[in-house]
Amino acid sequence: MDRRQFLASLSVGSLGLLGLPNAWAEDSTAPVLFPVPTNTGITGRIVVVGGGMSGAAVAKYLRLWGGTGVAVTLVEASPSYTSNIMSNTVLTGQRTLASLNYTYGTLVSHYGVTRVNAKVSGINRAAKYVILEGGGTISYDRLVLAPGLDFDLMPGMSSLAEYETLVPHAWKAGPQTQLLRNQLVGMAAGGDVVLTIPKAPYRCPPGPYERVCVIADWLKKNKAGSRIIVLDANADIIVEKENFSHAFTTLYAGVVDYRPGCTVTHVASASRVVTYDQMINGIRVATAARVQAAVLNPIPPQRAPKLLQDAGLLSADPAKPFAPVNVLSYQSTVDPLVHVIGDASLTTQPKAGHIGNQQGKTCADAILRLLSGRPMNTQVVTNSACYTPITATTATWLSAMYQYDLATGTMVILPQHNNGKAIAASSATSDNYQDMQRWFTTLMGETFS
Amino acid sequence: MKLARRLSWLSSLILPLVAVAAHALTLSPTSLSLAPGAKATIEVKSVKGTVTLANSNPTAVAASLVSGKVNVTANAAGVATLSVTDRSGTKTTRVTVSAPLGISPGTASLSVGQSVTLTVANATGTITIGNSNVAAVGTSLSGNVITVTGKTAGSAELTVRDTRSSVKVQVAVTSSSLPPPPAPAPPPPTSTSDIHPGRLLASNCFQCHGTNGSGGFDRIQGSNELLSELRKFASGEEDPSGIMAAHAVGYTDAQLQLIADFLSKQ
Repeated sequence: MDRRQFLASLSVGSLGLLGLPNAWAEDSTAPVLFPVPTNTGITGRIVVVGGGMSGAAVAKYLRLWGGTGVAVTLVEASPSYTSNIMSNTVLTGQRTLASLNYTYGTLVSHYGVTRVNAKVSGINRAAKYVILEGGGTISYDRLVLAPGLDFDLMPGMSSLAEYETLVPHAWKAGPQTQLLRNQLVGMAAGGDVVLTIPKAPYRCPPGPYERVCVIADWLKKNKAGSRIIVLDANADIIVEKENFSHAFTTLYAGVVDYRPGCTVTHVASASRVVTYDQMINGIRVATAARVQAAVLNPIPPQRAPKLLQDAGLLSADPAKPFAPVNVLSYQSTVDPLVHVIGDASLTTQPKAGHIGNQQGKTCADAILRLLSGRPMNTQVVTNSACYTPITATTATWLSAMYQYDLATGTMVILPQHNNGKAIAASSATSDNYQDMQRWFTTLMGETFS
Repeated sequence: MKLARRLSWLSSLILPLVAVAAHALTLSPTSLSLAPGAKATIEVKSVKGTVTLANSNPTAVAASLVSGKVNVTANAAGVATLSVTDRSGTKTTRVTVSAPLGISPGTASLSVGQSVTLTVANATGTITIGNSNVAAVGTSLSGNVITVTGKTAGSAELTVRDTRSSVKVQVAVTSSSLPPPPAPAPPPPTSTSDIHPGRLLASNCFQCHGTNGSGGFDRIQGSNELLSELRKFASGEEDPSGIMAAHAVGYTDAQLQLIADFLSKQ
C-alpha cells in the first residue's frame, strides 16, 4: 500500500473504492476553523511582532490552545504577507505575486487576535513594552519576536535601495520578485544571469539551488544561448546534493555554470559586474575574477533585524548574528520574557517556513505552560519539510525531523533518521510537483486560517 | 504708495538681519518628549568652528554628538537640557522623559449590552477618546477610567490621547441575544494533566494534514488506524522511499503512540 492508497483507506475505506486506480479522492485543502475555547483558566497579554509563517502560527495557536483569556496582539507593518515559498515560480511566470498573498483576516475575525498595523521601533525590556514607530507603546506579559531577517549589503554596494532598483535579491517575496521577473523577461537572449549564494546559515537552504533550476529551465525555453552562472560561497551544494547536481550536470548541462567556494569581493550594481575569489579544497583557483551579468541576482548574507540587536538579544559571535534561544520554549537566553522564533533565532534547525510554523506552535505551547504554571514539555519534535521544483513540471522533496536532545539542549536529527541527516526524494517527479501544490495550500491554510 | 515705500525701506533693514540669523547655530527640535527606551535625533545646523555638547541629566537621557546631529536615547523619567555650543553661541533642546501613556487592559472583547472599564495610566493633561465605530461601541470617561459599552456587533479602534501621545485599543463586540451574563467565577486552577501529551507532537502533522488533521493531503482527524499505519511507515514496510516514511522514522514508537492517540480523539 503506498501513501496515496493509505489516504484512501482513511477517507473512503469502507466504500470499497480501494481496488479502483485513481478512485481515491484526497481531502479538501480548505482550512477547517476550530473554535477558540472560552475557559481554559489561562490569562496573559502576549505581543507578537511579525506576521510571517512563525508569527502567524504562534498568534493562532496561543488563541486556539490558550482560549479567550489570552490576549494576543499581532504587530506587523505590512497589510498582508507574501509567501516566500513558491515565489521562485513567479520568476518563471507560473504564478503571480498576488497569488502568494495572505491576509490576517481570519486570525482577527475567527481567532480574536488583535492586529496592529505598525512597525516596532524599539523594545523596553525592563518595563515590558514595545515602542511603535510614530508614537504609541504596547505593554506585554510575554513578547514573541518573529521578525524575519535583515539583508546585508554585498561588498561594493552602498545602499539597500540598489536591491530595489538594480540588482534584486528577491529573498523576501515582494516587489523585488517582480523586478527580477521583469529583468529576466527583458534580457536579450544569450545574456548571462549571475546568482550568488551566501555562506550558510541563510533563509531556506535549498532555495537558491531551486531558483537556479527553475531559471535554467526557463532560460532553455525562452532565452537561447543564455546561461546562469552560480557563485556559491559554500564549498559545495549544501542540501539535496544528488538531486541538484544531477539537475545542474544533466538536465541543465551547458546552461548552469556552478562555481563553488566563491567569495564575492565586489558587486557593481549599475554595471552588473561581480568580482570574486574562488577556493577549491583549500587551494585558491581564482583571484579577483570578474563576471558580467545581464541580470544579476545577489542573495546577500542575512542577520536578525536591528530591532533585536538594539534590544541586546543577539549572540556575541559576529559570525552568528541571530538570537540564541532555549529550543523548548524559544525563550531568549538573555531575557526569559522574550521569545524569538523563526529565521531570527539561532538554533540547529533550518530557517524555513514549514519548520517556522512548527516553532510557532512549540512556542505557543510553552508560553501557555509558563502562564499557567505547568511543567515544561520536553517531548519536543519539529519537522522541516519542503517540496522543491526542479523544472516547470517536476519537483523533489526534503524532510528532516528534529528531536530535543537533553544532553546538549539542542534540536538534533536521530541516528535512525538517515544517520542523523535529512532525507530527500529519490528523484524529481511530476507526482511530487502535484504534491507540492497541495503541501503549499495546506501549509498556508494551517498558518493563516 | 507711501505705505509701499515704507515697507520696502523696512525690508531693506530686515533682510540683512535675517541673513545674519541664518548663519547662527540651530537645533531642531528645541523640545522633545520621549518614553523610556525611545530614540530620537536632534538636527544641528549652521555650525561654526568646534562644537561641544553638554547634557544636564545623563541619568534621564544618553546623548552623543555625531556629524550634524545629536543622537538621543531616553533612559529614565526626568528632564534633561542638551546644550550645543559653537563659536556663535549656545542653543538648547529640552528633553522630557516620562512613562508612556498606558491603557489596561490593552484590548477589550465584550458582547452587545455589556460594559467593561479601561484604566488610563501616566496621562498628561486632558484625555480624549477617538472612536472609529460609534455604532458598535459607546465610550465615556470619568477621571482616568474609560467605560466601553457594546452597542452592536462589530469592532472599533479607540484612540486614547493625552497632550503628549496616543495609544490605540481594539474593541471587539460580539452579538448576544441574551442579557449579559453575570461575571463568571474565576476558573479553578487547571490540573497539569489536562493538556494531552501528544498535542504538540501531533501538531507536526498539521502543516500537510490541516489543523487537528482535518484535511490537506488526507484527513487523519478521528482515525483509529493511524498507529498501525505510522508503524508501517516507520519500519519501512510501507512506501519506504516516500515522504511519510521520512517523517515517521524520525519519532520514537512512544511518540507515535501519543500522536495517534491525540488525533483519534479530535
